[in-house]
Parts: sequence; C-alpha cells; structure tokens
Amino acid sequence: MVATQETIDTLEEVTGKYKYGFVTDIESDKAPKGLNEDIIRFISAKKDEPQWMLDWRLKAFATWQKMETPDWAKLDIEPIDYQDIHYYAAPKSSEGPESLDEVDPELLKTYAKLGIPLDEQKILAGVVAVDAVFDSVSVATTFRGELAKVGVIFCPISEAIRDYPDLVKKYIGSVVPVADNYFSALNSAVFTDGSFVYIPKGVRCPMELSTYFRINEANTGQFERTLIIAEDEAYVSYLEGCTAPQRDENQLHAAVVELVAMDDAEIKYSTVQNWYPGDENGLGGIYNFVTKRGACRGDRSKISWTQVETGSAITWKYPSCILQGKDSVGEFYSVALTNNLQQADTGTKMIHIGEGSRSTIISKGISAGRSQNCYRGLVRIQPGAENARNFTQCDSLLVGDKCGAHTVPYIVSRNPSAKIEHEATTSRISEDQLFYCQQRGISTEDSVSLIVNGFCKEVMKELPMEFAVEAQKLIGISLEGSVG
Amino acid sequence: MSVSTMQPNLDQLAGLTGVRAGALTRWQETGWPHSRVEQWRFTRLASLEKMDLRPASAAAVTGTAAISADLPKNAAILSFSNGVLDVADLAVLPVGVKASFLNENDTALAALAASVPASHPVSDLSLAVMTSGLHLEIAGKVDVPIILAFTGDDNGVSSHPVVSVKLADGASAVLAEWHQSAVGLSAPLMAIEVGDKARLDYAKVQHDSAQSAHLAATGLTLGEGSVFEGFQISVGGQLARLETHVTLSGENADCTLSAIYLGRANQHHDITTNMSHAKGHCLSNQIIRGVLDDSARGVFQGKVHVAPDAQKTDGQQMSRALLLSRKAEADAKPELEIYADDVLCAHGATVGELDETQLFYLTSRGIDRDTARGMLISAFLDDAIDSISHLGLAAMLRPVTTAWMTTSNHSEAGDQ
Repeated sequence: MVATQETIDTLEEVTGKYKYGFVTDIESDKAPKGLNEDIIRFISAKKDEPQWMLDWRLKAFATWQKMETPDWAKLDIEPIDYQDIHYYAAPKSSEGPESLDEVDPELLKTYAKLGIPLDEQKILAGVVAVDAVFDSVSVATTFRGELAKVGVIFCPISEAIRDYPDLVKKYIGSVVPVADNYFSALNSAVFTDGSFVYIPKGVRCPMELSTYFRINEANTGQFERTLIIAEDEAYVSYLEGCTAPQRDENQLHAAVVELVAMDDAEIKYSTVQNWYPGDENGLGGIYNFVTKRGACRGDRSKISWTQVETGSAITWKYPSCILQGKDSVGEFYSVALTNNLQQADTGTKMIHIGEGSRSTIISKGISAGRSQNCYRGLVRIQPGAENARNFTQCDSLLVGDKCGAHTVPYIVSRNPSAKIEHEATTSRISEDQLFYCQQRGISTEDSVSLIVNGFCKEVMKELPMEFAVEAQKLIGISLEGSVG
Repeated sequence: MSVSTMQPNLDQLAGLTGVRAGALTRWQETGWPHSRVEQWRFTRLASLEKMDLRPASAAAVTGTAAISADLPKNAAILSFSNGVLDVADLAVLPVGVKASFLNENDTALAALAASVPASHPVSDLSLAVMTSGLHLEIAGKVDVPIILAFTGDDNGVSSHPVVSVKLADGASAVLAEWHQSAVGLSAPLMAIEVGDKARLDYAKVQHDSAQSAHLAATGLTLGEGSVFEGFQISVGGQLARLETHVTLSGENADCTLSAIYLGRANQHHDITTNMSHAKGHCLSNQIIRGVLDDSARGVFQGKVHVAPDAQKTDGQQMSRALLLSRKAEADAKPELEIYADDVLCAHGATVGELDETQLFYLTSRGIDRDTARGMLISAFLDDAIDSISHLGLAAMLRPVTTAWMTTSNHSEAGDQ
C-alpha cells in the first residue's frame, strides 16, 4: 500500500526530523561576499533608499568596526568570518510585485509548504496578516488594504523608509541605539528587510500581524529590522516565525526589533523561533544574535514578550523592556528548549524607571542531549521607580545527564519602596511522574512530552492560539529521542 | 592594565621561589581587576588603586590592641597584628592542634594555593607578600574554640595574614575569625580543609575600622560525610568583600554558609560565594540577609555549580536585602550552573523595604514606630542567626547585630 501524505508527515514528525530543512530552487540576485562601504551602498541602492538612510548605515558601519565581539555569554562560538557572507540575497522575480499574482509561484509554494498561507482568499477573513520575508526582501504582505482602512500601517521596512520617512527617522535606533552592542551595530549597517507597523491613536488592530522569516540562500546572513509603534490607547498583537534550510555550514541571523508603546498602548510580541538547529553532531545550524527591546514610553503602557525558542545552533537573545511610563508594565514569558549540541543564552532585561512600573518574568529552560541552556536576566530599579514591582521565576528542567542548565540573574535595586522577588529552581523529570503516566498506558516519549508541556504551561497560555498548537508540537518534536 | 600604586615592596620580595614567586608574577601581570571583569562588576576597586599602601612586615608597635568581642570563655586566641602572628600565642593551643609555619614549606603552600580562589587578586597578592603563614593541623575532637583575632593600627599599610587549617578525618573543631583592624587594607587568605567525617563550626566577623578596606579570600574543601557550619557577618570597613569558594569534594558532605551584612554611611559590603558540588549526594544551604541604611550598598553574588557526576545534589540559597534609606542600593546575582540532571537546586532573592502592614500592626498595638522598625529588622536578621547551632559562636555573633541596631538611626528622617 502506498503511504498517504498524512502518514509520511506523521512519520516525519515522530522521527523528529527538522521539517523545514528544504531549499527552494529559485534564481537569486546576490551581493558579492564581504562587508565594506560599497556593499552597504549596494544594499541601500537596491532598496532605493534616501540619502539619510545611507548615511545612517555608513555611520553604523564605522561604529561596528571599532567594536569587539561580546564574550560574556555562556556560549562557545567559533569565530565568525564576517567577510565570508553575502549580505544581500533576493529572489530575482520579486522586485516590487504589485499583487500576489505577480509573486513567483515557487515562493508561494515555499510558504504554503511552511504552512503560511499568503493567499488571502484561503484564510478565514480577518485572522492574520502576514509579511513574508525571504532572505533579504519582503516578498508579500497580506491584508494591507484591510488594515489601511483603520489607519494601521503594515509594510516591509524598506517601503516604510521610502513612504513614511518621518516616522522611521523619528523611531529607528531610538530604542536600540546603533552602538548598543556589536550585533545591533552590524544590523544597523546592513539590515535588509523586516516589518514596519504603526498603529494610530485609539486603534485596536483588527487582526493579528505576523512576519514570517525564511533564510533560503546558502552563505547568506539575514539581518532583519522590525519597528512597531503603538500610539496612545492602541493595541497590537504581533507574531514572528522563522525557519531555514538544513545545511552543514553555520548561517548568521542578526536582527534588531524595536517596540514603542505610548500612553495606555499595548504591544504583544510573540515569537516561535525554529531556525535550523544543526544536526545531532552539532554540524550546521543558525547563529541567532538578536537584540529585541521595547520602550514603554507612555503611562500605563504595556509590552509583553512571549518566546518559544527551539531552533538555532546558538541563541543570543534578550528581549527587554524599558519601563519609562508611570504604571507601565513589562512581561517576559519564555520557553527555551535545547537538544543535541545546541547552545542558548537567553533572558530579558527589565529597566524600571517610571513610578509604579511592574514586570513579570517567567522563564522555562529545558535542556536535553548535550546542550547548554542559560537564562541571563537583569532587573534594574532606578531611584525614581517608586513602588516598582518585579516578580521573576526561572525554572530549568534537565533531560539526560550530558546537558547543562544555568541561571544568571542580575538584580540591582536603587529604590527602597520597590519590591523584587526572584526564584529559580532546577530539577529533572521525576521517575514518579513518568511511572504515573506509563502505568496509564502512555509511552515514555509521550509522557515526557506531556510533563514538559505541563512545565511550560504558564508560557504556552500566553501565545496566540495558532502558535500555541504549533509550539506544543514543536516541543514534542524537539525532545524526540532524548529519553531512554 | 593599570597596576595599583599599591605595589608590594619588591626589594623585600627578591629571591622568592616556588608558589609565592608564581603568585607574585600573576599579581604583577593582572593587578587589581578593572571594572569590566565580570566577578568584580558590582565591587569596584578604583579607590584602592589610588591608595598608597605598603604591605606590613611587622606587628604594630603599640602591641596587640584589645578586641571588643564577646568571645567564648574557654577560647584559645591567636593574635595577628598588622597581619603578623604573635608567636607566643601558639602556647595556648589546645591538645590536638599542631601549629607550623607555611613560609618555609612549599608543599603546604602549594596545597593552600590549590584550595583558595584561583587567579584571584587577593590570593595572589597575599600569597606573594604574606608575613605570617600559619598552618594548623587538627586531629580528634577539640572542644576549645580557636579564635584568630586580627588587629592593626597603621592605615598606611596593608596586612596579609595567611592561614591554612586542616581537620583530619573524623576530627571536630570550632574556629572563628575576628577582624578589628584599622589598617588601610586587610587581605586575609584562608584555606580550610575538612577531612572525611570531620566537623567544623566556623564564624567570621569583619569589624574593621570605618576607613579600612577588607578583601578576604577563603577556600574551603569538604571531604566525604563532613559537616561545615559557617556564618559570616560583615559590619565594619568602608569597602568589604568576603569571598568564599567551597568545594564539596566527597559524597554526603553538608555545608551551611550563611551571612549577614549591615551597612550604613557610604559602606560597601560584598558577600561572594562559589559553592561547587564536585561529588554527588551533598547538601549546601545558604541564608543571606542584608540591611542597608544611608548611602550604603550591599552586594551578594552566589554561584552554585553542580558537576556532571554530582547527582542527588541539594543546593539551596536564599538572599534577602532590606533597604532602609532612599539612597541605599542592593545588588544580587545568584547563579546556578548545573551539569547533572538528578538534582534539586533553588535560589531566591528579594529586595524591599520594611513591610508597612507589619509596621502598622505593631504601632496599632501601642509600640512607637522606631521601636517597631527595630523589632522588624531584628526579626529579619534572627531568621539567619537562629540557624547557628554552636551556642558559643551564636553568643559571639548575636551582640554584633544588636550593637549595630542600637547605634542605628531608626528614625525615618533619611527617608524623606
């Protein structure tokens, strides 16, 4: 009997293979390898950018050249040759498609295979608007008309630079300054695409916005830049997904994401990061160096980060909140899962500046195989943050005896009225829990998956529904073969 | 790398060999850690670099100053003045304790160097310029508490007492360090080895003068089935760091290492611990309490490291800081580094002020606000002190916190 597609998919799922490891065969337009001022001029010209943007990039490049690679994270990284990377790669046919009909069918197929429908007809109206970023360019953005009706701008950032220069100029680099760190400076010099979101005053964005990042070309780096602005009383929920082909070489992904929330505004940012993690021997995989930061500038504003990190060979990522507004709220919910030889150093920073600002950090780290998983976080209470409040909980779960789980929280309190509580635990899946499940007829692997999902529940429930299902499956897959 | 003006007198050190020469070379290469060294992130030594200090080579001329401690009555006291041991005191050592000098014994020095924090400025500097290197071997059950009393009177010098203590298998002893110096810098280096099934009750009080800097480095190695119960109080000095590295090197060892720091004016207290579970089935427990008034700053850095084979480890740590003034600052960095899967490790940290509800409860019962504050602070500290099981040491430590409390300005003037 011939196996049905369903059977094949299920089989793929249970064997725990990386499902998104295929390569799309598409002709592409690439910048020569290497990083210098000419490459930056090339990228800027490709994007048809105004002079101020090019100047900004060149200045960032000069800054980056003077900086040193950070080495404080608990990561063991082979030195990266920044001259051996293509800083720009784009599918040839994709330059400025007016509508979805003009997008290369190969690309549409790719996204369909990834489970990201770009055809608006096929989606239940008003569910999710998608910006699809393929290597260095955005290939399609759906539901733009629908969003424009309520005044929401959702477009590739390269377009925003041309069409809304005042907005971009005002906010870009205002949350993550160019010189913030090595990778933010690099990104500022060579960023290619990403999403721009602007929610005007009083608007509740009618649908979830989403960007799907795909690295396809070999020897490229992806440098995305996302900027989300929520004006007074605005609300937006934004999702981000990422995958890459399976290759033996490491590929670099260095993104910068900036969020700005004004009075009473709320931004919810969810990520399911599933870059190719490398094989069981640690060969290949994405190096993921990401600077994500939100500024709660307005009073009673709220920024909430939720992340499920299962991919990447190396993760270096600390989504943070600067709580400037009075009674502003910052949240960080994270599940980081590492298997095989993956290394993750991830966490958050909560900087309390405003009176009555509150933050919650829930971090769940799961290490399996020979992986290293580290939570690194900072809670800083500035003298003016009267009655600020922080609660942090970091739990680690070890699956197998060859992996490591680490917790490095920093707590700095400079205001006596602030209350900070931090707790962390490390344990393993107990024999009792496993036995309980197994005697009810649940297999070992399913039991582990069940227990792990229970361990992550607090974070999972923060994810938008579509993602929650996906994320639970992902965790099940990533842990395959880690027990017994 | 800027090297401090506080350079050891090189002439005096000419001809050093072995362990001490190695330590001197390392010190000369690195000097005091600069501000970007992660382990010294919260405690900057810039003020120290500017000080013009000479390592002391002789005891204070005025003789051994009296210390104001409630020492256990039957204690054997060894006095160090400016870091120099009063050799006559060795006569008081109880039966079962053997003293020798480290200076001429490179093997003993090498053992000491292996136990104290490695590549550490205090370890290297004090090893190089040490004046009295004392080694104590303890066998059998020794009930008489051994007190190391450190005094000094010259704020132009630095003192570098180096002491190693070895408890033989099955031995038991009570050891305390009392620091009440007025030297520019005290940099005591201690190495303690507790043998298999041995027990050590230990206390340290850092009560140096308000102008002094106190940088201590202690290495502690615990053998199989041994018990160590230690408590530290940091109350004196302008800048103080009490750094302890513990290695649980045998199974079933049990280590308690708790601490209190009390800061006011512009004091800076730093409690740094590194608890390394090298073998399985060990227990470690740390309770840290800090009270900070005026512009004082308190730092707690505690790392629990569990080696790949150290299964069934139980590592617990809880640090709490109380801020009494608007200008005080508390920093904490509790760290877990775990490579074994069948372990139970937890740490907690809190920072806050006195609970207004509790204050209200007490004042509503007719207790004036200042007294109520005092009661709550003392209850906060008792939480830690009550865990000391050796009555003599508890009786020595309790008055230190009480004295601090009574001289404290409980009124809330500084709050506004």
